[in-house]
Amino acid sequence: MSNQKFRSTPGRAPAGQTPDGKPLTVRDCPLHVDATITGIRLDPQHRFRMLELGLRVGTTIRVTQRSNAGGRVVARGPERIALDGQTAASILLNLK
Amino acid sequence: MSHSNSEPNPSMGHSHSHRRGLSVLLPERPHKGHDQTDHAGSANKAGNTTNASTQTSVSAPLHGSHHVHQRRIVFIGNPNVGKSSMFNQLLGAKSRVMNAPGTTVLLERGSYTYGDETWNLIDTPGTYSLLPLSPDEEVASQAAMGMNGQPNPDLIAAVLDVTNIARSLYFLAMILELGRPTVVALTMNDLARRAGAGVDPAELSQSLDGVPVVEVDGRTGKGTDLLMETIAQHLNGTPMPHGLKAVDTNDVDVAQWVESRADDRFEWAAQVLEHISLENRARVTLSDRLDRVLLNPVFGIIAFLAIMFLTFQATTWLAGPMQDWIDGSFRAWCEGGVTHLFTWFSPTATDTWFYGLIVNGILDGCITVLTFLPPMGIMFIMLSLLEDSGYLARAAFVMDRAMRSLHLDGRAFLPIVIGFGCNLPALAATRTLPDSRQRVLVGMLVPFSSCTARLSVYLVLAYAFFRDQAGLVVFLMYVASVLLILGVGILLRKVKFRDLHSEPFAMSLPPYQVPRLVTLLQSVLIKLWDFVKGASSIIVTMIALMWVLQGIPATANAGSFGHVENVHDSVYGVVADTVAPVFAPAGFDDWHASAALMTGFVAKEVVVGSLGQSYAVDSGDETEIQQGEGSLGAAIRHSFDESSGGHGQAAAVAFLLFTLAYTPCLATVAELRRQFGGRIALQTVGLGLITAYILAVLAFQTLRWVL
Repeated sequence: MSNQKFRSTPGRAPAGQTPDGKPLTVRDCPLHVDATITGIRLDPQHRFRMLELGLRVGTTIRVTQRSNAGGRVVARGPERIALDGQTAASILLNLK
Repeated sequence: MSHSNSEPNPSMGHSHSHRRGLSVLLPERPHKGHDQTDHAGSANKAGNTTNASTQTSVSAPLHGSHHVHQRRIVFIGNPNVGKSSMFNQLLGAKSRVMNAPGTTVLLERGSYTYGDETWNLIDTPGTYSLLPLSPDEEVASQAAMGMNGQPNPDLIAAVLDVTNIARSLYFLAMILELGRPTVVALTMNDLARRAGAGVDPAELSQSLDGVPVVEVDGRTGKGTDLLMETIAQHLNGTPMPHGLKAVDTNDVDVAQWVESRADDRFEWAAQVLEHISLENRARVTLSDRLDRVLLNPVFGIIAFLAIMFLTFQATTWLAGPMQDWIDGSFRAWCEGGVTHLFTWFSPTATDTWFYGLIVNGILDGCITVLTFLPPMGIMFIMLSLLEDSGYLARAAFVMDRAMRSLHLDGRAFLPIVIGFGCNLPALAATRTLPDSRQRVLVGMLVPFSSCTARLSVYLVLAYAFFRDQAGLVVFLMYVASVLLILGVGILLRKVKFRDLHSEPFAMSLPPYQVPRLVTLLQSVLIKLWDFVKGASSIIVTMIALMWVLQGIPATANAGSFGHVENVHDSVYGVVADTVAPVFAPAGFDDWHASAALMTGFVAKEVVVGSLGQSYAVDSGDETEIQQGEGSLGAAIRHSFDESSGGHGQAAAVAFLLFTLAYTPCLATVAELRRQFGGRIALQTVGLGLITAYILAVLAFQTLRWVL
């Protein structure tokens, strides 16, 4: 999938949104494109656990793999973190 | 969060002809032990150095004392870092499994001799943080902090995965801040080097202001000697790196401490990373390429099912001939040997009850235990291959959505599928589940998987009562098994496992690696020996009890002790007669049926043989299908028609459902007790009996109106 649709250009959706205006999340982020985490929509306990896994606001990640039921694998440097579909949909991104 | 840390085969239609007898009680292997306080070391957190102090020690000094102070070394690390492999390399068969105080979480521990000292090594469940999200993580956290009944560690061995160095350093920061002497064991550095991201231990140690760092390969044991040497050198203290602050966890709220310092720890980790040379951090790796296939939305599931099928086939198809050899040729060889030995003493020694005790009791019990070694051994091999290769973590991810309805980890699929081959290796497979509550839940569900041993009973009754629809009846039994697993699973979730919730799935994937076969086989042999030690006592004892009951004459002309011709004339028969009326609401209140079910409690393979024995029908080499269509089937039809008031088919369905749902076999009970303790084993047996009875009664009372 090309990331052109997600670039911030005049008349187009900003880098942190999908073409239909929804916030861009890990679940709908294109593959192999650097993105910055801008928010995590989970309860405090699990949001902190994400932080401890290295997924925190400001971290740069890449979605490397799509799996069934919306699951995603994200790369943070050499690390690979598997996320289920719901969790992937809770991590907000801005494309770089 | 879901954390990572660790089909019916109709061709197997023949049954194993086990005979039962007396056995002697073998020593039991203690399972429900607790991680006892053998000493109470502590760490002095003053200044920049962590010291091992005996301020709160209850032991006398090392030398010249009657009470030897055993240093306590706690191994802690994230899931899937190779910690347990390394621990097994260190201790091998000397490790023992114990429950953490007041929990069902298992801790592995063992004694390690270094010079003239003996250390107590503790392996903890994998955890991402000292702020736990599961009982297993809580136990690991408490072991590191010396809380909740767990003694203070004298030293912490922090096992870090180099392929996830940033997160590992964050975790290390928390450990270092506990103020205990700490040694870092670096694992997977070989994999990291291949990806161009290897870490030099000396360089890392320098970046950590002198905290000792040792590279270890858990699969081969390389580096473990140096690790223990380094531990010995630093028991009295290790440096506290700049930027970190020691804390006394007794004086702070642990959650608040972990959360408030998180940003500082990440900053500290980033600074450490700047000082060590890391290359090509974001390269596409071989693991990425493999994941494109194995985690593909469509092919990932296909690959998973294929691997499950292979595992299932291996534990049934491969194990079958070995089991047959043990039960046939090996048994005959042993019996021949014993007979030869007895005839040395007297030509008529083989006519005595003592000979019966030895052959039909002790030997029979031992052979029974041995017949389970092939499927268990193959299962352990398959599990180790899947785990050590890195695939099992992916399997959890692939099956996560499917298992979420039962609030289970994706890996729970594996034991349930294996259970359709044999429940015993399926219980062994529950070890791969990272959460102790899930292990217990799945362990309680496994007995409802319809194993191949039950198939022999299905075939005989299906062909006896539903000849033309026999195949459909057998198929429906497997459907019933799946429904039962789902139904009982939902019930257990609501009643016993209310605190088991679906957690967001976020798991660090380990890189793929080639398992080392020698190490793998060593660990399999250790596990098999553990199984033999743990299961043999209960199996041999119960087989002995069966033999005694069948050997005691209950009527005047029944024969002498050990030589009762008709089992109905023995105490066993009297017990079967006493139990039979219980099954009246299910339509099969006949002593033949209750006797068969009692025997089936020991092993399902003998239900058909027991039926044949009770009806005095010699089936010879007939298959179950032939038996169902022959004289045995006719005898069973006659009995069931009588006991059910003419509704034999309904009674047969009830009997089949009872066979499906009640305790699979003694070996399963023994393994449940060994893994989860006597209480869970008893609860599972009780659950099976109650479920079986309810199903049987409901089925008969409903179906007798139509069948």
